[in-house]
Amino acid sequence: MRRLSIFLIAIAAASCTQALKLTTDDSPVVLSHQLINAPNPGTKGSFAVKTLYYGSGTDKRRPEFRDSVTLKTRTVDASPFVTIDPRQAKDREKDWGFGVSKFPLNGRVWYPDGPGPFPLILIVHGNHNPLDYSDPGYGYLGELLASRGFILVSVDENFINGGLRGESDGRAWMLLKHLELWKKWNDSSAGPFAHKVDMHNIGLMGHSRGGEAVGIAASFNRLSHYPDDANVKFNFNFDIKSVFAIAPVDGQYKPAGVPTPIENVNYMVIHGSHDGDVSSFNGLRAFQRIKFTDGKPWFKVAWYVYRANHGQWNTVWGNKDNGPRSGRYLDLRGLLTPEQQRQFSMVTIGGFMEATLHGKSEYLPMFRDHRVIGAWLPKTMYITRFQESGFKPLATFDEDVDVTTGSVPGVTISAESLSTWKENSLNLRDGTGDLLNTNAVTLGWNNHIRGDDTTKLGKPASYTISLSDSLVTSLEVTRESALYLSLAPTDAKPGPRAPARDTTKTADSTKKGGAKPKPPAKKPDAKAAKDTTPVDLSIEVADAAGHTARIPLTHYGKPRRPLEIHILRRADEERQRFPTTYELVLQTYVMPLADFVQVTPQLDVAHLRSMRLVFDRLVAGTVVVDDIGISARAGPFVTLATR
Amino acid sequence: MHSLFKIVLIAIAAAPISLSAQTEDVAPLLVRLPMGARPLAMGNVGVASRDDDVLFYNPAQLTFARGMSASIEQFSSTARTGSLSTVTRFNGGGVAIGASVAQFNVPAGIYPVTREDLVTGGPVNGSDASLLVGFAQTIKSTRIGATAKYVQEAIGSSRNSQALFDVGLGRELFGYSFGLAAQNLGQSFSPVSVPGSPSALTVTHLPFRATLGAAKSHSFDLFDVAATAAVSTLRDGFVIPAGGAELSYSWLDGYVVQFRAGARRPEPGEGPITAGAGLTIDRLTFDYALETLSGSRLAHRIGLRVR
Repeated sequence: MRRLSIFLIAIAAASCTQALKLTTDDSPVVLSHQLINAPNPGTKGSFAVKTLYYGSGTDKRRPEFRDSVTLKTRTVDASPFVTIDPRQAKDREKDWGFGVSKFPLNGRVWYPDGPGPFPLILIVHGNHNPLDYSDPGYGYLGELLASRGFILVSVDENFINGGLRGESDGRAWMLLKHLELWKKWNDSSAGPFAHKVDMHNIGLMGHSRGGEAVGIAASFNRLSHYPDDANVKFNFNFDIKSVFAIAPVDGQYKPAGVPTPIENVNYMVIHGSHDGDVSSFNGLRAFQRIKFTDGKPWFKVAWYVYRANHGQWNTVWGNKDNGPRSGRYLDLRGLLTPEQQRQFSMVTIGGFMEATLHGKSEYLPMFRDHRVIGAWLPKTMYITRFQESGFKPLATFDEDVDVTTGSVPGVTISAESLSTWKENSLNLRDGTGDLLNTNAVTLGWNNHIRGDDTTKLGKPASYTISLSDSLVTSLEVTRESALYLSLAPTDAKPGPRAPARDTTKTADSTKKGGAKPKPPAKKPDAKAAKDTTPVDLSIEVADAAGHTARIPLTHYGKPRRPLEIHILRRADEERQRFPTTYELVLQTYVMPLADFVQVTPQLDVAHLRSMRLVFDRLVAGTVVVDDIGISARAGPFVTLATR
Repeated sequence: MHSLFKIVLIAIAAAPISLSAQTEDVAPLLVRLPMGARPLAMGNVGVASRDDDVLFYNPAQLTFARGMSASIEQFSSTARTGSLSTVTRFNGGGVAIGASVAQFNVPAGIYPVTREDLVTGGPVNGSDASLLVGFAQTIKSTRIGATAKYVQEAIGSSRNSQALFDVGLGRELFGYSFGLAAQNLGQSFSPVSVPGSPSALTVTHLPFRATLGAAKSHSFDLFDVAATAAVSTLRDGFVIPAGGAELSYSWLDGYVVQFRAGARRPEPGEGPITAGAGLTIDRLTFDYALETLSGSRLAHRIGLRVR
């Protein structure tokens, strides 16, 4: 009995959930400002909200799309895009009453009570239990956006859910077929939406696989043929202005085997750190590859939300991201509440759609620096990547393996007293070796000089981007321009640097023969230990005349050490699945040159010569840096600043 | 395939149903004993199981059985049995090997040995052993399997051995997992001369058993519930309904405690009630089962399973 008791106690001890570990919340300080003086976009507007359903009118499983449809719709043949194993196809057809060649176009609509025209937004769910219908779960967004003057359609694609793979192109194509319906209804002379839809301002939103689908839809929208079968022609060409992805996957579908190219749309992606399904910020890959090529004022944002999960963006999905049993292995204790998570989505989706589809530029600064809307955001921590179409790269580290060259001719890079200076690819957290498809530079420094005097500090290490005169001229740099960089500290801390060599002593030429004195044994650098002090550094610009101006990076955002993430209840499973306890998400800093001129009025930005990262505000640390650049069009985004 | 199901179902239904105790002229005893702690705890029903010890109950289920296990049972101070089995994936189906042994003392002049004799004990030493190989495939959604087993019995000075076969079918229907098995097919043991027996040679028959059963499970947040039921018909028409249920509680991924109970129409020597429990830690499961025997006695079985 005693042995049994010991055995049971040992089992009980081993079977405990790991202690809850969260990074200390700094939101009381970081989110202490509210600088945007406009109505909170996450609160309801003044329009009364009406609802209706449209659909086949014959749906076997969904009474709302059978008995309650206001508008009857045709079916579509999705067989070129959605492949189902024949045995599974037979079972599915039996369950749903239709096969892949007759997919219905079902939607639930929230729309403003008014003459319009109103921008149109489609939202589509991702993969989930097909019988736990997902489309009602965005009703809170429907109520919000309709009250603010948008039409929101939650598209039914539950019949694509279940054990399918590589079907995201089918999900995307379905969205475009829905847009065809809306065009028809808008163009008609009668009906609830006759001339009420602003077809020049269309937004697409998607969650999970739906989040990948909206990017694919934006891509397919401009194509004339289906990339995987040119016998299938496309003729869409809708004015899709805005794409919003919620915790998307990326790469499950690749047109012609390459990542989906997305161009010339406003794009925003949000992701939770504690996502128990898509456990890495896959949407960063889509963010990285979006291009702006037509000269119009687009922007893209990637917003990382600490303690948000995968399912709470949808009221049906809940907090068990991998199904009802996943509460056994997912640690749900540290999550934001569903209300907090949805508050965030309402603020950001509302702000994004107001800014991009209603043209309300007063909301633009929130995407460049989330600290300007501290009162609207739930109290947690955020990291934001941002870029607008005026961004001109100076150093993005993707072109070659020469660490001294930049992304364009005229850029040279040098460094002083760095312990670590290397370019490397960025990975996602989930341990599969999945790449972000971008490189960055890692810079480590320790200003302590190695020796007996442990307090001795050397000149601060620095990293300099030098710009040629012709480059600066071609970039048309003015006071209205802004510098960009994206940066994230890591926990690595290099050891003290070697003292500078004393070059005053000369060799004794009279000594003959004898063994040369051995150089002192090189002590290995102290093992990099985890650093917890706040990170800051200075950004210094210099002009051709030698005038310099230096501003701390923290004026433009909070450089955060990696946010600690523990998704699983068992520490051993967590270690096995994830090589790191954090996702390396870089924060974008947009620094108006006007601020530097304010520091040094003589600074002549039109003859800018260099931008330098000076590591003078923290003795030792390591940062990862990417997307250093400059923009002449950041103006609308930098009208507000927190200092 | 559906036709085969129908034929077997009709055969079971048409077999003369005996409500009285069956005649005990069947041998060997080993193949009539329980062979797994988890099925034993649920009325000794294993025809629709997905554990590796389904090798002893319905080879068709080997298509999704996995892992290996071993268990031992003590009937009395002189009678015990043990079994072990292991399954691996093969060609889209499953292949398993297993073995079982039984050791017992029985009264003199008794043959064939019954379950009642196991608990009675006696001066004559006996032992049975078997070696099994099973194979299963899925053809058009129906699982088909077969087991070949070589069984040896030694009681006192008599020795006998024979190759036997089991065949089985399995299919998912109406949300349940169904299994159908016909066990202990083949040629009977050779007649045996038993000292003190009035007959010069004692003829025995194989303990044929046909079983139709089903299982279903459902998962909740931290609990799983499973139930299984089966009807078996023995060689002489004796019908044995049986069933059981299992409640599992998992407070953390990889840690599960299970509670089981079952009931059956007992054969001579058996009692109607079975029960048990299990503890799973990641890939390892410790199982315990008890079965009531005649005369208010209990037999206890413990097992270890690795997935």
